[in-house]
Formats: sequence, structure tokens, C-alpha cells
Amino acid sequence: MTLRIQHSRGGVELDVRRIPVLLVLVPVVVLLSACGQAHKPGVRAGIVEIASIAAESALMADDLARGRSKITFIRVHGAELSAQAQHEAEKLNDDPVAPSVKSPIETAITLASDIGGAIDEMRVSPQDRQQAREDEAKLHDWALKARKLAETL
Amino acid sequence: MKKFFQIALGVIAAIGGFVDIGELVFNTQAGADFRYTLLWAVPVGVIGIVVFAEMTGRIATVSGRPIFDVVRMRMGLNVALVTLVASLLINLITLAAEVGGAAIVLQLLFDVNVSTLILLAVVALVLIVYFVPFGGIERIFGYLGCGLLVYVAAAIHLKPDWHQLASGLLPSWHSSALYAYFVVGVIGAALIPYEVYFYSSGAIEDRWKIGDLNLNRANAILGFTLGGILSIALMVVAGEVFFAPQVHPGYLGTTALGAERAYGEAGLLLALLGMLFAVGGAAVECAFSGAYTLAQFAGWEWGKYRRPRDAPRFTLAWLIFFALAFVVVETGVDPVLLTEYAVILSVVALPLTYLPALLVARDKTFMGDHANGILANAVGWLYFVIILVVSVAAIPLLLVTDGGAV
Repeated sequence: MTLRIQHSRGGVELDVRRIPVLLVLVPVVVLLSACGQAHKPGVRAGIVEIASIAAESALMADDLARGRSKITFIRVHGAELSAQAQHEAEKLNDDPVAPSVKSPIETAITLASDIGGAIDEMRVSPQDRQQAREDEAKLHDWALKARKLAETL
Repeated sequence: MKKFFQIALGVIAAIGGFVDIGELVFNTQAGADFRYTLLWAVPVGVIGIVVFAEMTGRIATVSGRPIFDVVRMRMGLNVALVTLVASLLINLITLAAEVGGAAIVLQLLFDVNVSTLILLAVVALVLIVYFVPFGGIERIFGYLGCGLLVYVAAAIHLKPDWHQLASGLLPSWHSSALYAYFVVGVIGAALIPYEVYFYSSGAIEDRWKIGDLNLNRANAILGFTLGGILSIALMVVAGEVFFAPQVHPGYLGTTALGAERAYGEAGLLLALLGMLFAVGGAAVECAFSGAYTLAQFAGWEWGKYRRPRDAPRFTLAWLIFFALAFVVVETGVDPVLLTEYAVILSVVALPLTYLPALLVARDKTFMGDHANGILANAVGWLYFVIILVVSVAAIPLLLVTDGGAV
């Protein structure tokens, strides 16, 4: 079965049986054509995630500084958060970068590395409350910086 | 007096047993991202599970047939086969998520290699299921799962804005795909089908008679409602602790951190203990639910009240379920991610479970005097429409929001 679509110089025949194929192919082609460069929403999501990790780690550091946590919890959950920060940094680093987002990405990668480092400090010496208090302040500050950075995108 | 204690014990078990990894994940994420504005989705889900659990418990009590038998009888072999395959797949994913969740909680407590803990969790669950009678299993996991009540205390302790909290219980809408995704997730987590397969088969395991219909009603209404309060508490705690600093929870440790913020180390330990037994209990329910559906479809002897040698294929089935879940989790897949997929996929399959239950429960020729009344029919059909809507929306929302990440 064919549809004849009128054209100014004649007609173009379109096989109706091919419509489902086109319905699948067109979005795929559109999606593929969008690939290749990291775009602002994806970059922003990565930086928001980094801010979230810093904010959560600051809460954990606050409890640690006040002697209200458990060492195994700090070590295990801290490891998850630190690994996630590193993973987000790697994703941002590996994606091909559009020039307009290059600078924020570099800042975000540095932030993620600092955040991971502070979490690892807590994991190494969870008994050190003074260290935890200092880490809490730094993590809180980095969470704010990452959030502001995400808002610029 | 004996009846009163039976109801009280059932209710306590249901409180601890209602919350599984799906509730722990979705309610915490929903509270962190939307504070109180998604609270209304919890009662919507809870009323749904109360309505359908009561119906399936009543069908099992009156007819002596569990819900999967009814699916096959009412919908025919082909639909039953599709339902069987879907429910087995979802059960396996959910079971893997629960086992992985139990291992993560153990790791948060003891900081031991997670692979070892997965093995330990599976072996412990298998031994408990094999050697402890059905009622004992319900009580062990139900009572110890009540450690999660620390979230109810924490929700009050953190001094929420009660006016905003009450407003959150009234349905509202945000024009955001993420909000819609969490509505589907929170409702889906409450209505997850393994709960009714387990509940209705449990009615037969417990040998309920017509005289136990009030016990069925009381267990369904009180148990699931009070379990729903736990879900609300999880969301409120997440809203109080994580909303303002814009934390997006992606780990069970984040859920535990909420209780620690309220009560320090004691809160953390209670939360982890409650989580361990809640997900452990849910793992047992999932494994049994899979074995029940398979045995009921194939016409095998089934039931925990039978000795393993009297129901060998049923026993082998739940053992295989645990073994498969072990293999899945040992691949290193993230249990939280598995949970999200399990809940969303189960939402898609909800109509296959709940439509036959509704059709049979309202059938006077089958149920006699115990068929649905006007109210049960009206609420049942209303919920069937809700179930249809969320089941159609689930997969597109999963894709659009990248599993709640966007």
C-alpha cells in the first residue's frame, strides 16, 4: 500500500509499511546527531550531583565532629560518596566538551577531587573530631560553590 | 482476648514487614527532592494495597485458593502464563535488590567485604526459612523490622512544619516529569504485587477460616496503614534533613543518615537494624512469592506448613530463587538501581494481578455472601483506573527522567 504525496513537480511515493521504520529511525537519527558533545543540561546534572555529595558529606562530618556517628558507617558510606564524586569527575572529564562549558567543567572536576579528598580524610581518621569539624566547613563551602556553578549553566 | 492478641501480633508484624527496599529508596528520594509535596502519594498507595490485600485475603479464606490460582482460573492459561513470567522476573529483580540491600546494611554495620556479606545474608535467610515455621518467620522479621519506628520518632523530633506537612497530604501536581516519576514510584512501591501473592498464600499457610475474615480485614487495614505511617515518616525525615541542603539520596546509607541526624549513633543503629530486618523479611516474602506463583501455576504441592519432603518442588523453587538472586547481586549491580527498576517494572504488571482479584472478589457465584459490597467494588474499580494510569506512565517516565536522575 502506498500513499502519493503531492509535490510541486509531481509526486513522491511513500510506502505506508515503512512508516513504523521511519518512526523508529527518525528519533534515533536525531538522538545520534545530538551526540558528540557534552551539553549544558548533562553537565549541570553532573555538577548538581557533586554539590549533593558535598552537602551530604558535610552532614556526615558534622555528626562525626559531635561524636554522634559510627566508625564503620563513616568508612563504608564515605567510600560510596567518595567513589561517586570521583565517578562524576571522570564523567565530566571524559565527555567531549563544548567550548562554552569547558571552564565550569574544569572547576567542577577540581571541586569533585577536593570533596573526595576531604571524605577520604574522614574515613582514614574517623576518631579525629577536629579534623571532621574542619572537613565539615570545607565540604559545606564546596557544596555552595558547586551549586552556584550549576546555576550559571 | 486471644483474637485481640492475634490481631495485635499480625499488626506489629505488618508494620515491620510493610516497608521494603522500594519504600526506603523511593520515599527518601521523594522527601529529599520534593519535601512534603509528595506525601499524598503514600496514602493513595496504602489505600490501594489495603483494598486489594483484603480482597485477596478474603478470596483465599473463602475459597481456599490463593490469588495466582484465581488469575489462572479467571484469565485463562495464556494470560496466566504472561503474568507468571512477569511476576517471576520482577520477583527475582526485587529479591536481588533486597538481598543486596541486606548486604549493604551489614556492611554499614561491620565494614566487611560486601561479597562475603551477600553470601552470609543469603545463607542466613535460607537457614531461617528452612528451619523456622511460617509464623516465626513473620514475627522475627516483623518485630525486628520495627526498629524503623525510629523514623516516626525522628520525624516528630525534627520539628516539621505541621501545617505544610498536612498540606502535603492533599493531592497536588507539579508540571515536572521527575515529580510524576516519584508519584508512580511511591504508589508502585506500596502496591508491589509480591505483597498480595504472599499475603493471600499466607492466609492459606495460616489456615484462615470464614471466622477469620475480620482478622483479615483488621490485619490489612491496621497493618498496612501503620506501615504507611512509616513510609510517611521516611519522607518527612528526608524532607527535614536533605531538602534544604539539596542532597539527592542514592544510597541506603543516606536513608540511615536521616535517623542519625535526629538521634546520633543510637538512631543510626536502630535504623540499620530496622532496615536489615525489613529488607530481610521482604527478601523472604519475594522468594516465597516466586515459589508460590510457580507452584500454584504448575499445580505442585506448596506451602511452608508442609515439610520440605512433602513439597519438594516448592522448596527447590525458593532455594533456586535465592541462588539466582545471589548470582545477580554478586555481579556488582547496584541494589538501589535494581530497586528502582523492580518497582517501575512491577507497576507495569500491576493490572495483570489486580484485575482478576477484583473480578473474582465481586463475583457472587464464587464468593457467595462474602463478595464485594458496593463500597469495595467502587473503590476497587477506582483503584483499577489509577493502576492502569500509573502502569501506562511508568516506563515513559523512567526513560524521560533517566530513572529519577534528571
